[in-house]
Amino acid sequence: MLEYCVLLLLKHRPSYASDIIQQLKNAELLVVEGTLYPLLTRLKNDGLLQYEWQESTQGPPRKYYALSPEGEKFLEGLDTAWTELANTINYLKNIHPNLIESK
Amino acid sequence: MKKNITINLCGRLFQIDEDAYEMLQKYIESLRSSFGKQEGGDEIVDDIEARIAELLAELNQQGIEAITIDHVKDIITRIGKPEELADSDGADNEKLGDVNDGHKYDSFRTAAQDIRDNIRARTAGKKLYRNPNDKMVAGVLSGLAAYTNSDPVWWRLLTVLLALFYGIGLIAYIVLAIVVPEAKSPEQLLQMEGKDVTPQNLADVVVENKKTQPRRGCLGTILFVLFSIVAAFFVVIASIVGVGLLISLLLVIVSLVIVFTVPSATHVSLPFDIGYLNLGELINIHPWVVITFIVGVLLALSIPLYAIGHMLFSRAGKVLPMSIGQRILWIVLWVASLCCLFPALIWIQQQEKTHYNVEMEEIYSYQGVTMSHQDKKFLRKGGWNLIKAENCDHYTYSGYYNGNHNVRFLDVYNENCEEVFQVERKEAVEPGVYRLDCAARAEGPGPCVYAIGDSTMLKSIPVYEQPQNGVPDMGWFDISIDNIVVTGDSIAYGLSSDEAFTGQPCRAQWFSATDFKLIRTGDLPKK
Repeated sequence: MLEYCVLLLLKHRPSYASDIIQQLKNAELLVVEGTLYPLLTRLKNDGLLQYEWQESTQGPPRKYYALSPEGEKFLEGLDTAWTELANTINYLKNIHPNLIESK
Repeated sequence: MKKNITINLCGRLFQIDEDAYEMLQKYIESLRSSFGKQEGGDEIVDDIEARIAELLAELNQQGIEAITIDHVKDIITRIGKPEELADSDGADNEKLGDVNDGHKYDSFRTAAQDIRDNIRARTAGKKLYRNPNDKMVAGVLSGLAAYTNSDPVWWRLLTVLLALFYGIGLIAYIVLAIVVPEAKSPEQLLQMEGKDVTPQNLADVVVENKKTQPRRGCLGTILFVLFSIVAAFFVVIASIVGVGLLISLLLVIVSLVIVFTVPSATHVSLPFDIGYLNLGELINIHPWVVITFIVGVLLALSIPLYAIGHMLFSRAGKVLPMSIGQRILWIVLWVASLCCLFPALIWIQQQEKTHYNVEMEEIYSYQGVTMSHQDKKFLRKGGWNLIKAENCDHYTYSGYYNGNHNVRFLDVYNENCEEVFQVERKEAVEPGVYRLDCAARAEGPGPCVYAIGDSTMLKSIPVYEQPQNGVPDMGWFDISIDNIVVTGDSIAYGLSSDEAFTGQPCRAQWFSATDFKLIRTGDLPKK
């Protein structure tokens, strides 16, 4: 779940960890910041993410994470799955009790 | 007022209170120890460190110059405790699997699960450590008390009582002190008490540690000083033992290489008598025993070496101390190697002993009779056949004869005149008449010189007399047996004290003979 969100965030532009944390906090998703780091490392080890060091205006260089080509494919797959799931849920939610009875 | 220190975190400088620094350091350490095992663990912790640096920088921007322990607590709460951070996907899957299995399988499995849960509940997620905060000697018993949730006093009384029974308590204490690691980090202290490793608890431990450190009674101080001296002494001894072990190990390896590569080195003197064990030959006959022995020797030497090295390094803080499991594993492995080594060694030694005995018998036996090497050499060279040899202390002797000292001749000795000895030599001759000349002497009557041509001809050896006028002829007499008629093709002649052969009892403690010569005196008388 969290993976999907992180991949979505990184889809448009590369970000560094604190950016991601900020975004996730804005989306009211993340409580414990530390969980992100193992996740990022795991995604990187799985080849879904890549990162490069960039100089920052203040302080030491930062790790900017971005999707790898593989990651993009993976995200597409997740997107499809998510849409399907959402459709199903929506459909199930909107079934009117009367309709079931009438069948 | 608090002491303040400057730290460098990811290339940035921060002013931080001393206690806050300690807490932060412990936190990062505990992160490292919980992430260190997994792939990319160091990278994760480095990233988190960078994040901490950012958060601290934010504080600086807000105008806070000195970071206090409360700021650190906030940061730790924000980032989370180590267990919260663990990438939980895998663990969750496993748990799901467990639940499914529970549904699927029989009640046996759930019963086992119950027992496991029960044990877990009793020790309630605690780990056994030595307690450094409440210790008399090494903190073993208060650690046990924390583990079992009881009062250390009872454990101490029990140990003292057991120490009175053949020192069982003392031995058990020493073993536990070696096997059980000390709780050093705040994380371990929490695990010892079964508390969760939360930032709050970590902070409590860090703060409490500062309070408890000066708390040590008079006896405690004396014990502490004594213990420090003992510990220092122990390190020195361990280092010396380690160096000794290392040298032995190298010597053993060199010796083994020599034994197995240089075939003639079997009896070369090597350390630990490895050369005498004759391994090079034994390995062809009983390879498994020899391999067991070698592996046993190498393990028995290298395990303590590794343990000492590891201990010294962990004292210096270079490596983490071993866990209980590791320690027990090594100890079991070491005892096992000793259990292989010694039976194999004893077996090999026995093999070697029998091998040696067989060899010795070959060297020191002549026609089935055990005798000295010189005796054997003399008899063999002279072509003498032993016909009877009972109760003889020796068979030849080196002494004076015919103006020469150190001449070896036949000589038999028995203190009680009980020697039964007969030695004979055969010479191939043409038919004819012969005379046998020899020199002989005897301490008493009985022994004879004899020659067998067509018939057996005996001649008693005259009894030796004390030399008079100081003439050192040592009692030798010239003895001749004349007119030996030989129609066959050989003569046998020799020396005997066997009553059954000579017809007279032997009354001589010793007798000697030498210089046997066979001379042809004439042809056979014509008929």
